[in-house]
Amino acid sequence: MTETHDTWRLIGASVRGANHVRQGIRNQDFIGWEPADACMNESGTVTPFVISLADGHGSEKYFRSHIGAQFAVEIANEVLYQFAQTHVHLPFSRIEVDAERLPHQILAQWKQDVERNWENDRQTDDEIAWLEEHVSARKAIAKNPTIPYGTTLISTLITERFILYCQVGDGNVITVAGDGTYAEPVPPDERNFANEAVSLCNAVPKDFQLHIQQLGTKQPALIMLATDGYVNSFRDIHGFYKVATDIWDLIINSGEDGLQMVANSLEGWLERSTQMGSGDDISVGILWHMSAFQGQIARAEAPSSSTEIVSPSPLPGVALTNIDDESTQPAPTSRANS
Amino acid sequence: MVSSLPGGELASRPLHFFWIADCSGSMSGVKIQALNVAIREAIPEMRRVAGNNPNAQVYMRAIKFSTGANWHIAQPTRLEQFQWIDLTAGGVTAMGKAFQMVAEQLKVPPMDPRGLPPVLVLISDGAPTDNANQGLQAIMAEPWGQKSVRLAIGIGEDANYNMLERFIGNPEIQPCHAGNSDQLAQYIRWASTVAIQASSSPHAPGMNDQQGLTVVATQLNIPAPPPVSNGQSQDIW
Repeated sequence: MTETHDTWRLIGASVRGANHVRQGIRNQDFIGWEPADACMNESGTVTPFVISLADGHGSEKYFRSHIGAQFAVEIANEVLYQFAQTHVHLPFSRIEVDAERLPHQILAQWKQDVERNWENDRQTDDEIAWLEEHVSARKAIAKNPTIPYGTTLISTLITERFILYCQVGDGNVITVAGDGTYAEPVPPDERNFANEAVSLCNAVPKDFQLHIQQLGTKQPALIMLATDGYVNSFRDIHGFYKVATDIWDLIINSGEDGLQMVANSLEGWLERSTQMGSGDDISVGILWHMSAFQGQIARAEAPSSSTEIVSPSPLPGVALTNIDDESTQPAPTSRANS
Repeated sequence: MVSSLPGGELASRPLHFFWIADCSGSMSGVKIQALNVAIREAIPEMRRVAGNNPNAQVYMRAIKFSTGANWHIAQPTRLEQFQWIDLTAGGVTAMGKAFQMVAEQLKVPPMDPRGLPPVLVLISDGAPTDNANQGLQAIMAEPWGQKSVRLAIGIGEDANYNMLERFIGNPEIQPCHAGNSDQLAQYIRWASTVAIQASSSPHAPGMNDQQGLTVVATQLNIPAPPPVSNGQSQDIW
């Protein structure tokens, strides 16, 4: 028999922005999680897992930002997952202290990988032509070759004892508590305004926003991460917050059926949101803590592993013509396997 | 309860466009007439350009300055419904007052933080008679002022092009110089459409500063104005 109180479920999706579809631009967001498949923890405790989203800047100057976004997700997932494995049994005070090094680790690895990509991956004719036309950008990139890879990053690491939120640039993380109230564990960075965002390509470790929540009696029942294309699709911020609470209500009221509906519908919801809203790429990750649904979810269907990953599938009847193979994000990624 | 989509009302992102028009006495006659015609004739092209990005909703308004400044079209009006109302000229050149009033409208609220960079297009044929620098500082004190797309068109030789350059605030973009009504019409059409394109382009970050920010340049990817012809115009300003 499997206990559900330490079990989480996770889904994620990324869709190409409606504007990008019209302009023939690829999806510059990336989403991934670690481990890439559900895994059993023999001790029966929560298996640590991490999910990350990244939003590559996407304009001409950031012509490799889709690569930068992918690297950011893969590196953050790897670094944070290792952190969880090495720290899960350490005192919380030690966890807090050591977590302060995470931004440096992620940033240093991202810069190293990006610079290696810049050196090894020959520039395309289009890239060369663009650089020849744009002198100031060419000079800036010569000094800092990470610029073409500019991206934001949002990560959430779940362990049995703590949740760690990590963010650089815009995007949102929302938590919903068991009583349906919501919160933003990472306070908004006031520097992210208009189309301006803190970027990994220029960031220093102190630009990372890090928040660690020790898990006790009070813990989130649902966590939603989203790139800024989602919040910008709503008339106001409260409409965006309502996404998380609506999903919470759906699952509470419909149990396993509600969960499956969310899993099946998420991609279609995001497509319609970008079409009717911001036009930007949208990536969303949603995590449910199954203990919040005890009595609501069919116990017999409870997963046998500590972390269950439900890959979204298209909602029947939802037009998918705006998503092509190139732009659709792969499902979960594991840097170790990439 | 989820009906069709979770969350609140979806909406395209607002893009606020401000005409800032000189209606001083020196604009009387042919100039103000040409300005009215040029803006009116530019509107269909603006609609066409805006239609290329249905995820941006353009709202228009206009402020005029002469002896003091007044909102000529105060209500932000959807471009689809926008009708130009003719300006009349007379008085001095209180450009600074107009800047102050625009700055008030760039505050959040009434501006929406999720909007696209606002567009400010300044048209003038003379030198400010009040403290325009102070007004410009008020604009630049607002976050949306700093992020705004600013273009300027000088009419004739007497326009204060230094002031127009300061308004634009980007050495790579110079004020347009309209020498007759045909050129004014061409520049109005260029400025209005290119500004909408620049502001509503998806993810258009420009230069980088030294603080980790990827900055959407205030003047994003705005090409130089096209060469303009004298057309059929008989008036040389």
